[in-house]
Amino acid sequence: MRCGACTNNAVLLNPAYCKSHFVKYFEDKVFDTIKRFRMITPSDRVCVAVSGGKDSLSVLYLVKKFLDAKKGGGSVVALAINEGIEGYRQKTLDDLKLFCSQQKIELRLLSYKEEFGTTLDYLVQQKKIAGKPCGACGTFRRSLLNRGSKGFDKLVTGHNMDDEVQAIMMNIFRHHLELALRSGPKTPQNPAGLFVQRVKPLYFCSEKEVRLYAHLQGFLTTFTECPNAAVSFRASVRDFINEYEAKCPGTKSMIVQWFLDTIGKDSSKKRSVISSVCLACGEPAVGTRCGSCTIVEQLRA
Amino acid sequence: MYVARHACESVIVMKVFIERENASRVMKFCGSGAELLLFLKQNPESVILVKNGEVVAEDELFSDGDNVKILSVVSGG
Ligand SMILES: [Zn+2]
Ligand SMILES: [Zn+2]
Repeated sequence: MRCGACTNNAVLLNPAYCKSHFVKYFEDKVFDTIKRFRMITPSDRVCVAVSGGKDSLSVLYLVKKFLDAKKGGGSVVALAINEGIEGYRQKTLDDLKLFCSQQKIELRLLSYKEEFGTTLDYLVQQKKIAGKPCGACGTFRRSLLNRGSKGFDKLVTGHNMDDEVQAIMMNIFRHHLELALRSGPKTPQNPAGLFVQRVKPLYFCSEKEVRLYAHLQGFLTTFTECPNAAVSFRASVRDFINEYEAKCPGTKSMIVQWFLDTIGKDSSKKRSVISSVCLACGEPAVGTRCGSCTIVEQLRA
Repeated sequence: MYVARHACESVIVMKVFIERENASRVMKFCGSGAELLLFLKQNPESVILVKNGEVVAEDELFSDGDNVKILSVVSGG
């Protein structure tokens, strides 16, 4: 098939674009998303959560490109989290260091080991935490992103449309209305100033588009899959949505659009309700202990 | 030998690497990229097709000696 905008061969069928037109289409989509949801203003000090994968490298590169073009005095810092998963994270952290030095972006690193005195591997071995490790890992990760983004105007994450669709479906399957209310392209502002507002510039980009963009831009991303991911609920939801998308193209964007028109409507104008802090660590918490301190205490018990 | 819809004029032998399985194979194949993915049970939503170093769309056809890579779109975060 030919590109819809020139005579070159298409690299993608839907929409049909060649390499250079796809790159332009993708970047325009991301910049439009940033503007439409007022995700980043030109003077913002932005913290970008990075893992070294295709999503975070692409979003980091594009946020910097956006701010550089605006010349409004804004700046970008990359924040990486080391979970402590042997053989999984080290390679991506190395890729990340190289990428940030090439792009002249400051990279900060926080680890579960230093911040919580444990690693994800230890957590999996101990089997003291009920259920899959992904829940506890997510709690730790959120805590560290919160700690690392203090003092910034925005926290950018590389969540793409597939991530969001998976979250919406998981919340429906489990009737998690509270969690569903917290998702969306931009999280609510916290009146107590306990959280930095989180934004997702890749919100309307499918995972396939992001991988294609990263590949065409030559971002070095080694294929890695978290060793625990295959057992997660998310992985099974992801596979069934992809099967459905292959049969009915456009399903993912319909789900996201449905969410934005209903429960996600004006989510960024809503206010986050958390106003108390953990008595052990001072981080935001519902009750007297935050999620991370609860897990650390369970591990010690 | 897998032969899809239309017959090929000559025998097509190509090398196919599947990133997610980290495995290569040499196979005889006649058909489009979409048919190749179907045959290998790879969801087009989860992969990117690369032929001789260039990304191609799923309607691409192959020739003898092609080097095909099926890159995984999914990564661990
Ligand atoms: Zn073109
Ligand atoms: Zn705490």
